[in-house]
Amino acid sequence: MSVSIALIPVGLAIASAIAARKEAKAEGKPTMAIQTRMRDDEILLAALRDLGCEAKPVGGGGLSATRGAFEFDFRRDENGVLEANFGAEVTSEEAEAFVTDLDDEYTRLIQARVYQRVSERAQQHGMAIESESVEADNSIVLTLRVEEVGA
Amino acid sequence: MRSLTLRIRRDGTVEAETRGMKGRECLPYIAELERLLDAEAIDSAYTGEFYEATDQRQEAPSTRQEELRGSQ
Repeated sequence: MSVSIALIPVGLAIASAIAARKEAKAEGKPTMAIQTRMRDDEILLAALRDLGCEAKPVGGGGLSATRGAFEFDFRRDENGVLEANFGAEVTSEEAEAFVTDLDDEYTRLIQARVYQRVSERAQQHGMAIESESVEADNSIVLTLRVEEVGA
Repeated sequence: MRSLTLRIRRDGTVEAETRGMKGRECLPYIAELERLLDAEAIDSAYTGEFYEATDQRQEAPSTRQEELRGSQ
């Protein structure tokens, strides 16, 4: 072995799954904001729909969504990371549980997308998949035979 | 045979290791993996094979380790 590398897909921010909750007010209504590590609107939209939410993009970036009677939205912070905002009708426990489930589905989709990219593009990068397996922790392990890449 | 092992974790993060490469031969693969995976390298470390060839101690390639530490 010569070098080991840790990588994070661009759709994920370098942060814990769910950051500190904060109370805020929007247009006079109390709201609760939960910082996520999600950056990609398209993947977030898919994850929300997988969880049975109705969701759509909103102008200026971000998404609005409903789940049953609850309405919430996602807004981008100054670092481009999406923040979930809930109204006062949702308890903090409900909001945190939902964002935890959403994070799990979002990262599942990120994993699938990374695998798909490797499967579809390895050859363009001078690599070929030699073997693949799924581990007990649901990690996907790929061995790629490599040719020359630009030095 | 030169190869790369990728572990795509369930949380979306990826660990990669080069194999069968010595010295600086492995370095171009960091940027190549970033392009292939649409990802950013946040940490890296040389392993034994690197030192077998170069017989010197060097810092791993520059990444955003400081940013990573700062977010914890």
